[in-house]
Amino acid sequence: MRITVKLFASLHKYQPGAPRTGLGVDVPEGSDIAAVLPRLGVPDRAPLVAMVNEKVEHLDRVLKEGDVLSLFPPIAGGC
Amino acid sequence: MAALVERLRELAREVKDPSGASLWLLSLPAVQQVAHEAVLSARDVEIAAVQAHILPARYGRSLGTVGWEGQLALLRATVGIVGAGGLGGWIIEGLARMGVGRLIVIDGDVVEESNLNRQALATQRNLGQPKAHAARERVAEVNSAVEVIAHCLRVDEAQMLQLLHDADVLVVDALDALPTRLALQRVARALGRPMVHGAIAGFVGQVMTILPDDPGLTGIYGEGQVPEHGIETQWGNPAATPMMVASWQVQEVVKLLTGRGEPLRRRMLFMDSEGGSIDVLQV
Repeated sequence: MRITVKLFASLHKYQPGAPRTGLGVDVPEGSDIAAVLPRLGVPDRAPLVAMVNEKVEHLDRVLKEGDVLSLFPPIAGGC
Repeated sequence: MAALVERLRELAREVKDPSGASLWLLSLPAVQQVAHEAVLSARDVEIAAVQAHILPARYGRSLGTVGWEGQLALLRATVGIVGAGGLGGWIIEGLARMGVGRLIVIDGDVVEESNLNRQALATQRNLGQPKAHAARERVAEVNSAVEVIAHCLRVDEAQMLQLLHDADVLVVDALDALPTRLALQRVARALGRPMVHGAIAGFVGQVMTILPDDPGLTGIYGEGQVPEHGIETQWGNPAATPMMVASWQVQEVVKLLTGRGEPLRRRMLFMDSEGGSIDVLQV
């Protein structure tokens, strides 16, 4: 099935050619977010926030055809 | 009170606004004069003036946006700002200029050289000064009607709960570590106050308003262990990124206090000024 992946901020470096509108990625039916990360080159246990269709989800969230997966690094600066 | 209003009318001057309608303006010296005569704070004089639809001249360009009721709400409000660094400094500047009547400023640091690239309160002349005191001095320069309660402390959760108890409306997150932000959210929730979250790293930043019932940061980062810092440790913080995020935080505070507009509730505004995009995410 095909999903769209958007990598934000520092995560963009794992797919430097990816368009702003998102990268089309083919993944097996029933894949969860955790299963997609290695396909993108995102390291295991990289701290990140995952959103599917603009809603925050856990990494065990199973994806569906047409889902938009957005991945963010934690941003904690204020000073 | 009637005598006070009478005195304010005597000292106010009439101008025509762009539509041709009359507007009564009170100058800064007039505010200070009445405060002295009536033995009131400048803030109380400004509150009385705005209630009587006499506008302290300093708020002339705010009136069209916030209205009389909005300006009154701002003057009567107390807002807590935790952190007076990159975000906090610009937030304090903005809220003071808008006339938020009382600001509780909490920051345990002193001004350092590395602050000079981005922090509104850092100058070459005040290196070594506690930032909370620098905040108080700066506010006195831009809006002497605003009272600053300065706490030069690195606070834990219990201290935040105590010091922000008087923040009758809001707490603003201008911190630099994730666990402390989560603690601040717990404090805001315990106090029943909204919290305006902001965070920065390199060219990017994010803003969100969290009401006590909202999942907020725990909805994003979960309840468990969180990293102390994010990508800002590699990317640093250039001058305009805190300005960018702090501006939105100021607008959120103004909207919450005046009831105007739509707060970023359950919405995270994510700004990437490197790529040139802004995304709004549902949280």
